[in-house]
Formats: sequence, structure tokens, C-alpha cells
Amino acid sequence: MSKVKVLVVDDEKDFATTLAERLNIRGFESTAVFCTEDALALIHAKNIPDVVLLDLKMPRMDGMETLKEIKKYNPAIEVIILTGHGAGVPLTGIDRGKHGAFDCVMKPADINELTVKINQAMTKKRNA
Amino acid sequence: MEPQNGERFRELQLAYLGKLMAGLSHELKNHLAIIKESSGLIEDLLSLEESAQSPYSERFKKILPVITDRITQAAEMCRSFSGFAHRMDHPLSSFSIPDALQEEISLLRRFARQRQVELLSSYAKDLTPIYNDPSLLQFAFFCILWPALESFSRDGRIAVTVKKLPQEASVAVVVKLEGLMDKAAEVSPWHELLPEILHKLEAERSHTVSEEGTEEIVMIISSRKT
Repeated sequence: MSKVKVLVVDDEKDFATTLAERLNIRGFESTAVFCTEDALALIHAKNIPDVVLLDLKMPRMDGMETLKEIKKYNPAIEVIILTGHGAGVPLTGIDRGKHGAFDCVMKPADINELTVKINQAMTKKRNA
Repeated sequence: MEPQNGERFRELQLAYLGKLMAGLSHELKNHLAIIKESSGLIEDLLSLEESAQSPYSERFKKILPVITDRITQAAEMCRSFSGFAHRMDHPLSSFSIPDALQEEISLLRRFARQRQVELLSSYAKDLTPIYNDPSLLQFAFFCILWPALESFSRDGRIAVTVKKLPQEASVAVVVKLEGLMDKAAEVSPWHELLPEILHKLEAERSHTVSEEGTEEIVMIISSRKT
């Protein structure tokens, strides 16, 4: 079976590259980009990831707008939102049903939890 | 330009503090996330390494869980801090009372530890969210807890419980204060504010003192209609 392609989108370069490397060690094929424009350019260039790990708060175009763009372009791409938002507070704008994010993970995330979520997203994608 | 009335001025002043605190906690979480991933990567690389390739491998393996544990604790504090800061974004909203109280308890733990006061909490399951002012409830809670923390002269105990009530959309917050006190909590300026805050919350309060000196404060918080 081919490797699951993961795109990590986060303006914190150190975070994105390290996370991508750790996912690669776990058998994924991960790429890190540091702005939403690069993420969308990659996807439009037919370099389609299976799963996108998307930071919610980024300069210029934020995660929610990017999520909408990704889903508009290719609804089969699963998106997991990464957020530093506080627990217990409604995540304004993250309406999974409405915008189609697979799940939302709080930062700093646990790599094992993240790996499970990516695999769950892949199961959903394969069964779709 | 019309001058802002006092209450609106205070509201905006709180909102401004909330925004800065929320920004700070987001930044801290980003830093923690990077530290966590970096230490995790070192751990991953060590696990890939042939055994005994580096003389320090075993020491690294012992140090890394300490870093991870501290990051987890700091991240939890950041989550509480961020949640607390964002409470001021929505003066009236539907929220979980245990979540709001737990945020504040997390932030008060350090003071409790310094005072050698045990701070306990337990919440009924399946509590319905309440439509009210979460930030104001946290302030009321602070006005009870802070004077108590200041008044304990040695080992004391504060037990917070949230109970379901038969009436719909209402919960009881019970704060029990046990231990010796060197001054009465009633004289605190924070405590004096409590009636006004509870009036704004449209909440009820009762205060009893047992023969052994244990104080019990009960607040009944209900959903507001508007």
C-alpha cells in the first residue's frame, strides 16, 4: 500500500518541519509548508495530499478560509485543524458539519493522538 | 465624542486585558508545541539509533520524559489561561459551569499550594450548560476563594462541588471552607463585592457556618432569559 500523504500547514516553521519529520518516521509521506498560499498552490499543482494538518491562526488567509478553499477544490482531502484555542470555549467558526474538517486537535498535540486521527481520517476517506 | 459610562469603560478595560492574555497564551502554546515536537523528535531519533552508539543515549532517554511531563503540565495551564482569557469575549453565552470553575481553580492552584491549602473540586455529570455571564461567574468565584485563601493561616481545605438541581437550567455551586483562619473572610474587599456580582448574575447565595467553624457558601446559578 502506498504511503499516506500528509501536508502540514503552519506558519511556525520549526513546528511544521519537526512534525512532518516525526510523521515520516512513523511511515507517512509528509511535507511542511508555512503559509496557506503555498498549501493551496501545492494542491492546485495536483500534488494532492490525503490529509492536511492545518493551523487555525495564520497571517493573511486563516485556517478556516483555507479549509473552505481546500474542500471546494477537492472534497476528498481530509483536513484536521490544529489549534491553540482554549479548552471549554466554543471554537468559533469550527463547525465540522458545515465546513467539513475531519477533526480538531489542540496544540501542543500528542504525536500518537495525531497519528490515530490521521489513520481515522484515512479510513473515512477510503470508505467514502 | 460621548464619554463612556463607568460600566462600559470597565467592560472594555476587561475585554482589552482578555485579548492580551489570550494572545499571550496562544503564543506560549506555540512555543510549547515546538519544544514538544523537538524533544519528541530527539526521542524518535534515539529510538532509531543502534544501541550504545552514543554514550549519552541512556541519559537522554531519562531526561526526555521529564521535559514531556513539564510540557504537558504547562500546556494544561495554558489551556486554562486561554479559556479564562476568552471568557471575556462573550459576556452572555451558553457555557459549562464546571469548565469555567476549573479554569479558575487551575490558575489559583499556585496560591493554594503556597498557603498549603488543599483545593478540591468535583462536578456532577451531565450538567446542562447555563446561559449567563461566565466571566462574571468566575469573578464571583474568585471573590469567595481569594479571601478564603488569604485567611487560612495554616493547612486548610477548600472543596468545590457543582450539583444538579431539580429545576431546569439551574445548578448549585457549593464551596466548603475547612480549617483554621486568622481573620474573618467577610472583611475582605473582594467579599464585599460579592452581593453586587451575584445580583448581576441573577444568582442566589446562602452562607452557613457550622459549630466546628466550617463555612459553606452555596450559589444557585440559573440561565438568564435574556
